[in-house]
Amino acid sequence: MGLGRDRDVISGAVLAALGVFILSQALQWNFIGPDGPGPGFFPVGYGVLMIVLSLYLVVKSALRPDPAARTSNDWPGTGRALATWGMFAGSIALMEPLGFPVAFALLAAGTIWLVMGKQLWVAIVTAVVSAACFWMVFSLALGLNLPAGYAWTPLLRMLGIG
Amino acid sequence: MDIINGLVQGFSVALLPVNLMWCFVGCFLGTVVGILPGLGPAATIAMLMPLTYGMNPASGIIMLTGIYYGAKYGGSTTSILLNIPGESSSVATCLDGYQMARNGRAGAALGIAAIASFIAGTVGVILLTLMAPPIAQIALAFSSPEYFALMLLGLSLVVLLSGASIVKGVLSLLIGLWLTSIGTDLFTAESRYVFGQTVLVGGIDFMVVAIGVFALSEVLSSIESRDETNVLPVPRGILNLLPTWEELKACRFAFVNGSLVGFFVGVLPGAGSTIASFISYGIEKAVSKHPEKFGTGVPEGVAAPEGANNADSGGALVPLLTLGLPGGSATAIMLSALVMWGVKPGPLMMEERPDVFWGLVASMYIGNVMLLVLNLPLVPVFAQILRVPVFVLFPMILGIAMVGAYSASGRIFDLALLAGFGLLGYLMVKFRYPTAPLILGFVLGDAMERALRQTLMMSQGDITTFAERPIAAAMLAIAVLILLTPLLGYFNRWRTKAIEG
Repeated sequence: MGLGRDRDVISGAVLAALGVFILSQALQWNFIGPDGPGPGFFPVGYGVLMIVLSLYLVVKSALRPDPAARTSNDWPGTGRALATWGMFAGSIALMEPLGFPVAFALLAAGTIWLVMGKQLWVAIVTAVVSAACFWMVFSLALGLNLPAGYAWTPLLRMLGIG
Repeated sequence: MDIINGLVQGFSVALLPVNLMWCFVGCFLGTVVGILPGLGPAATIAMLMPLTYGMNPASGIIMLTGIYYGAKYGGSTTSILLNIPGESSSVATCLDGYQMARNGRAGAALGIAAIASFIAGTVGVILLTLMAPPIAQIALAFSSPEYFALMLLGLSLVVLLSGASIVKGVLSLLIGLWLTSIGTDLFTAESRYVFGQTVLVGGIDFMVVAIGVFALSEVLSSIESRDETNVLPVPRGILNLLPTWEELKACRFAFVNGSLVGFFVGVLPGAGSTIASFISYGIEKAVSKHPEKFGTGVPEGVAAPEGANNADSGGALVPLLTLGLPGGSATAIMLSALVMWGVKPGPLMMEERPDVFWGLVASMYIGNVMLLVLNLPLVPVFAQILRVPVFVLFPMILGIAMVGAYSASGRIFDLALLAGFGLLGYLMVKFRYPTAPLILGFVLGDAMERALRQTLMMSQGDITTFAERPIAAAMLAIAVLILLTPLLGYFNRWRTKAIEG
């Protein structure tokens, strides 16, 4: 099954659920008081509008699909993009223990090798050089305090750099 | 007289060596970003904004604005040499620019693009100089109801022109309004939508949203499409980049057309340089003695859209600087940067921070000259950037996005949010939701809520106060009309055609 018609139905349903969440939370706050509108006033407004419009999108797409929205999805391309995103998210999870340079090098190597299909040695060399450039430009030259992690600082000390 | 005094003060700021350097850095980076398909000026400004934290406001905004208009110059290079627009605003340039290059006139096409960009860019700044002071004077009379109505009007235009589906545009805007509500309420200190996370009590950092929705999602979309590039050769030597006298003569109306259309379309929130360039191209074709030749490589088909997308920069700064109302994603990020430095864009900016306002305007005159110099003789050098392999480029962009988001707060939690917003931006593109309304909703949401609540406090909850104030009432009526216009079949067909063009 392609993304086609479901594109609007799925996104409309998700946004309707978000609208319900926004509204249910906003109704717990003061809507209007003696001093004027409370914290729930504005969210109630856009929450209701979100529910109405997203349901309209769902119903309209289900009854009268937009031909332009029926284009088939490029699943291999989507897979590449989501794999890159997965590695990006994974490298963030590794940033605290490993530090920015190591986590970024893993991200770069993984993306180049697995997603872009380059040879492993090309991926490793590019990743190590890129990570070193980032560390030199942002940490050393610009003085930005990037996450050092438990691995990076001892590694630098071992090499006599840190 | 005030304008002349302002400009004198502005040039005294812009000509300081440090500001000349930042202006050059901005223009240079803008040109590079414009050349690189898959990385836009909004994403670049967002990623580099954290590096400007320590700069004074005048230097910082001079550099960021340099990236903004520099990217418009650079965008034409890929359109002409690759038939791939570096920026969406350069799509129209592909039509005749690439054909000129295929006909062996790549140098002339690049030269015409640079000259048209310079002329129209300068005309745009002249019009900005002349129009900003009177508009700011009028806006001094605005109070909370007028500001709320103005923001609603601006957002309506953004929604109208952001994509084929108005419903999706509004939904995107509402997501932005919700995201900006996360944190502490402005009036009562009540925590809203923080999910029990203390790190969310202060709200979500704008940089994280902007970098995620633009930079990260652009990289993911480019990886998905995996475009192959085949660059046409650029002639070396400046003489080979100069158009002939006949070509320049053919472009004389296109220079004027591009300058005026670009500026006035640029003033409208949401319209943007893509629409300006197509309107200008359409006018040029309509008044041409040989409309059938358009699309086969005529020089005026390059000059008109290139002029329009550069004059648009001056136009877009009018509502930003005089009303505090950004019309697009890049100007929304610039607004956020100004606020971060403690400068409040709006009618009082010219009086409160003339150094920043006039310094920026003056720097744009200088920047246009710098860009002409950069883009005429150095275009073969810039074209080499297109040969940087994407397997090197994309990981670098991902790394810069991480550094940009992390350096804003120093929290790894923000990097997790960055990943989330990157996925959100990518899914929005996949599901055909425009991202600009989300960013503008996020930037303007707080101010809009504050203006609405102040208005209702002043009127003790009486909503008819909007109807009693003529300017606010007129702006609200126009906003409603704008949102209802898609119901008119003819107008909606025209609108959809313009956006899809």
